[in-house]
Amino acid sequence: MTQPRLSERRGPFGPTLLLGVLAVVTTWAALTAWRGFVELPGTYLRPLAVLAALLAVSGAALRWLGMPRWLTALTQTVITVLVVTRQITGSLLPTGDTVTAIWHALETSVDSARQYAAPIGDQVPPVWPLLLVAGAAVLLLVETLACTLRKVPAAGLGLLAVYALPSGVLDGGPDVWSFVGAAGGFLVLLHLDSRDHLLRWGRTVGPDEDTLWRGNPMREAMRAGAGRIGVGATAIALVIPAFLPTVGVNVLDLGSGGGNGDIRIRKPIADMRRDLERGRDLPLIQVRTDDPAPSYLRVSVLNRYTGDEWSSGDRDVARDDRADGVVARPPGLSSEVRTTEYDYDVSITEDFDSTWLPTQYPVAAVDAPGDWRFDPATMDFLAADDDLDTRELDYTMTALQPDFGTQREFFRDSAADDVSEEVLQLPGAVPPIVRNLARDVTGGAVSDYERALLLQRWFRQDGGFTYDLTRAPEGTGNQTLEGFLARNGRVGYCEQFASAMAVMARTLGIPARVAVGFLEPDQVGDGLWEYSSHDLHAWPELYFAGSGWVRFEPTPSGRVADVPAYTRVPVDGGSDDPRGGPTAASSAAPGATATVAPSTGPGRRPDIERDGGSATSADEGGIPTPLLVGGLVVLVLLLLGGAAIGGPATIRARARRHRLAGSPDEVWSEVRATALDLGRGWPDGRSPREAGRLLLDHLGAPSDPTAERPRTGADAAPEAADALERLVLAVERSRYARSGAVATQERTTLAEDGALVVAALEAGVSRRARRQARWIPISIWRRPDAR
Amino acid sequence: MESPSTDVDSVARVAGRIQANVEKVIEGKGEVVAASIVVLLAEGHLLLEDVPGVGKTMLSKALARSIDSTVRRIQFTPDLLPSDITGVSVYNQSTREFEFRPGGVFANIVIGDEINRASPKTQSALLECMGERQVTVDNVTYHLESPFMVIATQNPVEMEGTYPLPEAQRDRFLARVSIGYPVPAAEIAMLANHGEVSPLDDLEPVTDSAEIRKMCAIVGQVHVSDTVQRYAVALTAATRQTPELVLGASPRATLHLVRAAKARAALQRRDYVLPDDVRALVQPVLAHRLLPSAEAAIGGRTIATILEGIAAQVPVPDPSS
Repeated sequence: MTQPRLSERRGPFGPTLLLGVLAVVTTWAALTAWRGFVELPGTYLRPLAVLAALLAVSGAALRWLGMPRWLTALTQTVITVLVVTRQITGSLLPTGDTVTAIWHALETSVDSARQYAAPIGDQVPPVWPLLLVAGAAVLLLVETLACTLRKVPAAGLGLLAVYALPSGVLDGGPDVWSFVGAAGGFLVLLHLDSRDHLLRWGRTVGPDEDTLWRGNPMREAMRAGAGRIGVGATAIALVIPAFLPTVGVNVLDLGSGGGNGDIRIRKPIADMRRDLERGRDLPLIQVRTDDPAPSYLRVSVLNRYTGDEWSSGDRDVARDDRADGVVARPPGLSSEVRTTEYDYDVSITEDFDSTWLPTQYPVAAVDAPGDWRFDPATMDFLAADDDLDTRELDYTMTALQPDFGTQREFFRDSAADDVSEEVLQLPGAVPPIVRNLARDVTGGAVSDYERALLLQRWFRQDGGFTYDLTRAPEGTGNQTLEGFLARNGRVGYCEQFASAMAVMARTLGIPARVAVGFLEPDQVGDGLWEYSSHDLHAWPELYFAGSGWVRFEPTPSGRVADVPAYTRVPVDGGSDDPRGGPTAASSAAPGATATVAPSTGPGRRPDIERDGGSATSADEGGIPTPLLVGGLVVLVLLLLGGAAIGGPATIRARARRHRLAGSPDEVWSEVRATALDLGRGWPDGRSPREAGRLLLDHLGAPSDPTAERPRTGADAAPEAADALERLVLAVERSRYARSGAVATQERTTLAEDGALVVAALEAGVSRRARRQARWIPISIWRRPDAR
Repeated sequence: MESPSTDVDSVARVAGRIQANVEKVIEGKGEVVAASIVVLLAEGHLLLEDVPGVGKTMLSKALARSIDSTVRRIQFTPDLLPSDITGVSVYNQSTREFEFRPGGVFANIVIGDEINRASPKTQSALLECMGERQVTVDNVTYHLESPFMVIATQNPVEMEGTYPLPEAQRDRFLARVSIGYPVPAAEIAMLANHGEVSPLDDLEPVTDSAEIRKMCAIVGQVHVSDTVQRYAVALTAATRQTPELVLGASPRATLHLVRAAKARAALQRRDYVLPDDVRALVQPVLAHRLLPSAEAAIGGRTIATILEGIAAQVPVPDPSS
C-alpha cells in the first residue's frame, strides 16, 4: 500500500500565507492606533511586528499541512507566549521566575497607566509590557478567528476592540490612518473569505480560472456586492462625521496629565484619584489676590447622580453667558447677605489642561480670554470652543465672599421650586443603609441646615471614618457607598465622603450636589498663592433658601483641617469641632500640601459607567488591562484546557462518531483515518474501489479469531468485506453518480457498515498497534477529508 | 420512461449475450471480447493487433455474426484501391446514367484484414469513413448506416512490404487490443471445437443493429462526473508532459477514453462512470496513439510500462477540490 502523498492534496501555499499575512498586518495596523498611549510606540509595535510575522508564517504552514485547528491555535499560542516572555524578561523559556517577572511588569504597567496620562514617556515606569501583552492577545485572537477558524466577521470584533480603547481614552481618539489601514485590510479579508465561500458552491464554467478579476460573473457579482458595501461603509464612516454637528463642550472630562507631568482635566471625576496618587505635587495654578485667605477653587459641579456615578448632567450654556466680565449673581444667594469682593489674577501653568475654568464660588466677575461660558444654574465655566483649554491661561476674576453671620436666617429650608429637580433626584436603588443612616444621624435636627451640620460632623467626627487614599474604594456608586457607610467600611477619600454626604442629604430632601476643584492654596509669596495637583478635592454643596449653594466639608480633618465658618455652629447641644474627627491614615496624599483625596471632583470622565465599587482602571482613563490580560489568560486557559481535556483520543473518538453518522464520504473518511491510525497507510489519489481492494487484505475477524482462518483478508471477515463493498458502492454513487440519484443505502446501514469495516480493520492489527492508534491517532494530524 | 439503471441493465444483458456468443468461438479471451463490445457500444473502431493465427479475424467475424447486421470483410493488399473501399460510380449503358456501386465500407461492421498491407492511399480512404461515418464519391456524400464499426487487424511481425498506419489513422481507432496466445486449456478446448466444421458456421445472431443503436444511445446517456472528466484529462495531459513520449494523446483520445468508459460503466450496470473505468481503459484506448522517445525506447521502456507509470502517478481528483 502506498503511503499518502499529501502534497497532491494540498492547494498552493501562497494563498494560505496571503490570508495569514493579511490578517496580522491588518491587526498590526489597527494596533498602531495605540501609539498615543506611549511616547515611543516602537517599544510595543516592533515586537508585535515580529510576533505577527511568526504567527502568519506558522499559521499558514500548519494550515497548509492540514494540521487540526486546535493544534494550530495551540502552537500559535505557544509562540505568542514565547515571544512575549522573551521580550519582557529576556528569557525564552517561561519559568516560574519569568512568570513572576511578567506579572510584575504588568502590575507596574497598570499602575503607570493609572497614574499617568497618555502619552506615557520613558521617565516613568513603562507601560509597553501591557500594550505588548494586549496586542499579542489581539494578534493571536484575530489570526485564529480569521484564518484558522475562518470566522472573519468575528475577527472584526477583535479589531473593533482595539479601536474602542483609544477612542474611549485618548484625547482625539485613534489615528484615522490606522483606521483606514485596518479597515482596508479587514475588507480585503472579508472579500477573500466571501470569495472562498462563493467558490465552494461549485466550479465556475467558462473563462480561465486564473483570470482572477476579469470576466467571471460570480466574482463580478461578489465585487459588486460585498466589496462595494464594505468600501462604501468605510467611506461613510470616515466622511460623515466631518459633517455632523458636534457639541463643543467636553462635559466632565477630567483626565490625567501626560506621562511627563501635566494634568488634564476633561472628565471631572475620574482622574482625581490618580492625580492625588501622583508622586509629584505639580504646581498648577497661581493666583495673585488681595484675599487674605483664598478659599477653594472650584472647577466643576456634578448635578446628576445615577446610582453608578456622579456626572455633570445637562448644561444650559447660552451664547450670552460669556466669561467676559460681570456675571450673574449666584442662584439662591440672598441680596441681604453681605459680601466682600476680592480680585484674583489667575495664572495657569502648562501642566493643567482643562476645559473647565477654575473659579471661586460665588464669583462676581470672570474675564477670561477665549470663548468661556458659564451655566447660570451651577456657575461653572466651560470652554465653548473645542480647541480651548486652560493651559497657560491668564485671566481675572472677582470672588464674592459672603458673610452669613452666626445666625441661621440665611439657611432656611429650601422650597420645592427653588432648584431643579435634578439636584434632588435619587435612583430607586439607593441602599437602605444610606437612608437609614441619614435618618439616624440627623434624628434630633429640626431643620435641613441642622441636618446638614450633623451629617458633616458625623463624617468628620462621630462616624469613625478614616481618610485613606490607598485603601479607598473605587467609584461613587450605590454599591461603593453601601460598603463605605457600613460599619466595617468607613474608609475612603474625598470622593466617597462628598458623594455619601450629598446622597444622604438628598435622601433627607436637601438639594445637594458634588463639586470638584482645589482645596485652599499654599501661599508662595506676598499675595501670591498656589494650587497644586495634590490640592485636588471634591466636596458636597447643599442648597438653602437665603444662602444658595454652600459648601460643606465632610472629609475628615486628617485631610482637610477646617470646615466652612458657617458650619461651625453648635448643633444638637454640641458644637462641631472642626479639628475633631477621624484621623488621617498614613495613606493620605503625599506632600506637605494637603493632597486632596479627590472625592468626586471634576475628575476624569463623568460619564463612565461603573459597576459598584469595582471600577476598572479604564474608568480612570488608563488602559483596561485587567480586561485584556484576563482575556488573554482565558484564551490561553481555554486552549490548554481544550488540549488537555480533548486530548487526541477524545478528539479522535468524537470525530469517529461524527463521521460514522454522516454521508458516505464522511464514513469513508473515517475508514481512511482508521487505516492511517493503525499504521496501514492509505492510497491517497486512488479511487474508492481501488482503496477498498487494498483494504480487503487488512480486514480481520473481530469475534472469531480462529487459528484456521487467515489473520487478515477478505476471508477473515466476510461480513466486513461485504460491508466494505457496500460502502465503496455508496461512496462511488455519492461522488460520481448524477446529483439527486437515489441512494441505495440507508444512512443507518451505512453507519453500521462503516463501523463494521472499522472494527475489522482494528481486529487485523496487533494490540499494540491498536493502543497506538487510540492514543496517538495520526489521522488527526492530517486533514480528515483528504482522500 | 425507464430509469437509467433499468436502461443500463438492458445494455448489460444484451452485451452479456453477445459476449457469451463470441466466446463460443474465442475461448479464454473474455477481456478481449469485452473490450470489443465496449468499442462497439462506444461507437468506435477497433484495431486488433497480434501475431498471425491467434484469432483476430475469428473474433471479428464472431462479433459481426452475433449481430444481425450487414458485415463486409475487406482483405487489404498492396494493390487494393481506394475505390474498393469507398465504392465507385459506374456508367450504366442501359439507363445511361452513372450508378454508385458501394465499396466494402458500406456495412454495419467492416472487417479490414491486415490493414497495414494496403497502400497509404488506400488506408487513408478509410479516414473519412471512420471519422465522419460518410463516403464522398464524385462529390456525392453517402452516409453510412449506424451502427458502423471498423474492426481492423494487423500483424506486428512480418513488417516487410507493409505500410505502418500513419498517426492520424491510428488516432481514429478507439482502441487497440491484442488477443494473445490462449492458455493451454483453452487451446485444447479449441482443438475439440474447431475439429471439422468452423464454429462460426453455427453462430447465430443474438441481437440486431436496431438494438445496438438503442444500446449506443443509452451508453451516451451515462453520467460522467466532473471529477472523472478531470481525471481523464489529467491522464491524457500527463502523456503529453512526460519526456518518455514524443507524441502524447490527442484531445480525441480523451474523448474516446471517456466514451469507452461510459460503455464500460454501462456494461457493469452503472449509469455513471468511475475513475476505475477510465483507468482500466488507459492501455487499450491510448497506447496505439503514442510514440515513445528514443531514450525511453533505448531504455527498454515500452508504451505499456510508460502508461502504467502515468496511471499510477496521476491521482484521482478529490471531488471536493
